[in-house]
Amino acid sequence: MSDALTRPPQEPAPDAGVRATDEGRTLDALTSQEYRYGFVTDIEADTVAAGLSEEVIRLISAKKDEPEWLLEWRLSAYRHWLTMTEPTWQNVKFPPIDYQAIAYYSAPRPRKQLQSMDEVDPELKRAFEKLGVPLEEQKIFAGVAVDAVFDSVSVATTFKGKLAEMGVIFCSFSDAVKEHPDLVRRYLGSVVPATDNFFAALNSAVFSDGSFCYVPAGVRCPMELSTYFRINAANTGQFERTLIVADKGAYVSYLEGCTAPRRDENQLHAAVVELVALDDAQIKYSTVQNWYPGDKEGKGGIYNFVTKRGKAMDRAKISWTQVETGSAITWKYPSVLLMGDDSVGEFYSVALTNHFQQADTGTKMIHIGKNTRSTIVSKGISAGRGQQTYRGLVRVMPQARHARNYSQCDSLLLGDRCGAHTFPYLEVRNPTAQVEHEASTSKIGEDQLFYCQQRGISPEDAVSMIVNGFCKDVFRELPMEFAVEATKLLGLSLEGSIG
Amino acid sequence: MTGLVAADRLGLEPFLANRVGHEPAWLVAIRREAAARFAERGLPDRHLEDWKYTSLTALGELPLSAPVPDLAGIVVTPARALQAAGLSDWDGPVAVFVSGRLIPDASRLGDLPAGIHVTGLSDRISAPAVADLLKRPLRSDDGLADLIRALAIDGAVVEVADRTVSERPLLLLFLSLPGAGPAAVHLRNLFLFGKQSQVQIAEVHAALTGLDASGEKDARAEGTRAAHLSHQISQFQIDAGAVVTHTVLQREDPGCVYVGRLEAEVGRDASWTSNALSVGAELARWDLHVNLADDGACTILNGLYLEADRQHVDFHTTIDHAHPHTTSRELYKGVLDGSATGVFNGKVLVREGAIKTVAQQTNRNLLLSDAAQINTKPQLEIFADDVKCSHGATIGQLDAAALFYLRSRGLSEDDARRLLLYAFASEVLAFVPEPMSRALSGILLKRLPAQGDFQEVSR
Repeated sequence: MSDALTRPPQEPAPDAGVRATDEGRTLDALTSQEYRYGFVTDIEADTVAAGLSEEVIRLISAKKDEPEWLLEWRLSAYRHWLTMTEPTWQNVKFPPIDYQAIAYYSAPRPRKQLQSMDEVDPELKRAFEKLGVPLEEQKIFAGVAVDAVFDSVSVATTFKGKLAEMGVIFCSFSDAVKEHPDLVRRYLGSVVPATDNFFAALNSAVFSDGSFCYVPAGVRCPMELSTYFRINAANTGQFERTLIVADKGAYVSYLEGCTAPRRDENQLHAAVVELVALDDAQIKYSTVQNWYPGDKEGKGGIYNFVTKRGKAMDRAKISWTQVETGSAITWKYPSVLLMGDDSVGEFYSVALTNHFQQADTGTKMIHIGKNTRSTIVSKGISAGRGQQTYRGLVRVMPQARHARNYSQCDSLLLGDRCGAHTFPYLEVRNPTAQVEHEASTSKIGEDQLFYCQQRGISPEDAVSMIVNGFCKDVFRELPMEFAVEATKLLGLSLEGSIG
Repeated sequence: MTGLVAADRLGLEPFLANRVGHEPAWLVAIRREAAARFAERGLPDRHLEDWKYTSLTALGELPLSAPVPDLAGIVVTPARALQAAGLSDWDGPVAVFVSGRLIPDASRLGDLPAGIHVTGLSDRISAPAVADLLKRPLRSDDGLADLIRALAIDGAVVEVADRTVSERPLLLLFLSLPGAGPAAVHLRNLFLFGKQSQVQIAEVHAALTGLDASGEKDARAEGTRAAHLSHQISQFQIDAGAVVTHTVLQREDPGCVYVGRLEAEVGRDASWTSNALSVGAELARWDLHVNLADDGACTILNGLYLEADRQHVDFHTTIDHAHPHTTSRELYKGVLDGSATGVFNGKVLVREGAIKTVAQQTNRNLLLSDAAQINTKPQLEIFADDVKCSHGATIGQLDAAALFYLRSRGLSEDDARRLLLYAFASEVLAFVPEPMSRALSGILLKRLPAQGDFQEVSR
């Protein structure tokens, strides 16, 4: 099964508390759980010296052998970025980022041109094995094609052939630029313009790789596509770019999982994901984000500042599902522009903040076409000193007749030093709209705990059960393999949840 | 806005010079400090998150300074005042303020229950409790609040002695003089409720000119610039165990920009209920700031806004659960017709340690026309774990099934709509104690969007 994506590594051996995941698991044991993906792989990397300038951008572009138009696109994004100021409205706190101290490009140095899986760097392969992505045993993936992104360069792509038969293009962004320049040029920046926001502009200027997917008209992608991101080298920011285009009537389900080594410094991750669902197309985008969250004192960890947005044309559907357990700071709003009539947008999210983690996440649903519908289900869990914010926007434009939105955002507080905040913006400009929003914040009910204990369930198991029940609305939207992993991940990330 | 323009607009120096000698030095010092602060930041604009959806450009070049109103030649009788407020039947105690100045001849304060005192602010500054409240910083912190601190010279002071219990509501009428009075009126009202007192206060804000429905409409259609500003901050100090109900009806004339701010400090086991009904003015901005300042404090906030034409209404509420075992409940409902725009922003803050907090918030809106807009933003900020907080917001239209049901029972389309609208609004009115609620529902019925005679339907 593809639980490999987020499965704890086979070695080093898991400590006793975690092995007993199913029976007799105690939260105390979980408390002692260290970040399990925190190893560093010693691979010779081709890294550009830290700093950002037009020269660096030209260098990145040259290293990737990019066409002139893309370089121009990067440069114009960079020039625009220089005129922008970093936003300050967010409800997360971090020391100022020095954008000149970041290395904007890091690639495993290729020993030679890769022809087949066997030629992948053994060190690299071992790293992926630790991560639970056994590239050489494709069968294990049980139908999941993986475009593995190691630092910034896509190392190898599995199942490319099988997908090619169906006409599905799934490759690294750099390959797409070389092999399908027309498609890339047509859709790149069409949903998230290079000038969209501070971090999107930065990404547009320096993005190094990412994934590209195109599903032709009428094709139902036969397997779940998956990208696996990992930040390895120190002091590098990861600026990947994902572009998924589902042509008319196409369907694709896409999974994204993330980890990073444990380091004391904070690392910036400013990605851009663009989804284009043409008429009648459907895109399902699932994320399990488990970047390094920093240690118990809040030192280190990833800054996950990502712009994710989809554009849904007539009768198209875009569904975002995210499980956010990692990162020191998560700050993103996967959004849907409901451009076409009868289009549908969905957002399902579980976000967990523990220790000193902070999250300011939510979604934007912009109703532009007629009869558009959107659903938002957001579950936030705050423990330790975690601070969690749901921030969402539902906007119904004047021409969007008969728009329908239902939003629900619930927060669960575990511990008395954490916080949960809700900032939903509802802007309605059309009287035929039906917009509903509900939110609640509470701790685990003592009556619920009592009921479980009275049936012989230990307090720890009861908490774990109740938390899983709390998240169920979201987990059932995940592909099966991910749902199993998400449940485990939640257990791992929860600690000290009983006061 | 540059400091120079702001200061000019304030017409400050002559005003301050005029105050020296009339007032204690500390008050003039507060005015100077606030005026300097205003010169720095000017009126709030849409770059401020709290003013994101509301623009004060309607104030245009309106002079904001407040000369001491000249009320000579204005004769107001209680009957005329009550008629302006739309409460001709009112027979209880009433205090009438014209441009913020208490007019004893127009008031009926003789039959006030023992223990309740109503005075004008300018006559009461020497009282220690009043001075204390004036010296305390305001919860509202923006250019408008600076204007109040710099310019407000009048307003109502209501003092209620400990353990005063009265079932008869006290009515305060705040009447503006469009065209005749000052362009801007800045008021500061102070309400001090003693321990375990139980009283009801009602306020009506209206214009002293004739207020028939047709005149209202014409005036609104004409002007895009506001003719005057009605601006007040009311501070409520509610001591332990007091139970206070406060109802405000805002039915200013269409050329008015209305800014009403209510700041309440609720003491131990005390309770403050606010009913805010907003139907008039071209632009109405309400800020309610409730500090649940001790254990067991409770607040209930209800609001109703009925807007049409190009009216704009903005409700901002902030409830600060600073102590354990505090409770808040909010219900705000709005009906927006024409090209009216509405804003609701309800913030609930639960501080660290404020365990056993219960906070519940509801905002429901009906949009009746294509051009009407609503922006609503509930906002929960919670730093304690043992709490129960929820909020809900809905935006929609009249229920088609309910309309159909009434039509099938022989009601005309208009009557059916009005009946449903009345039902929608009456959920809030139900919180207003009698006899105020009866008087208010009469006024509100006339303001409901559809034409015709409602009262018949409502009976």
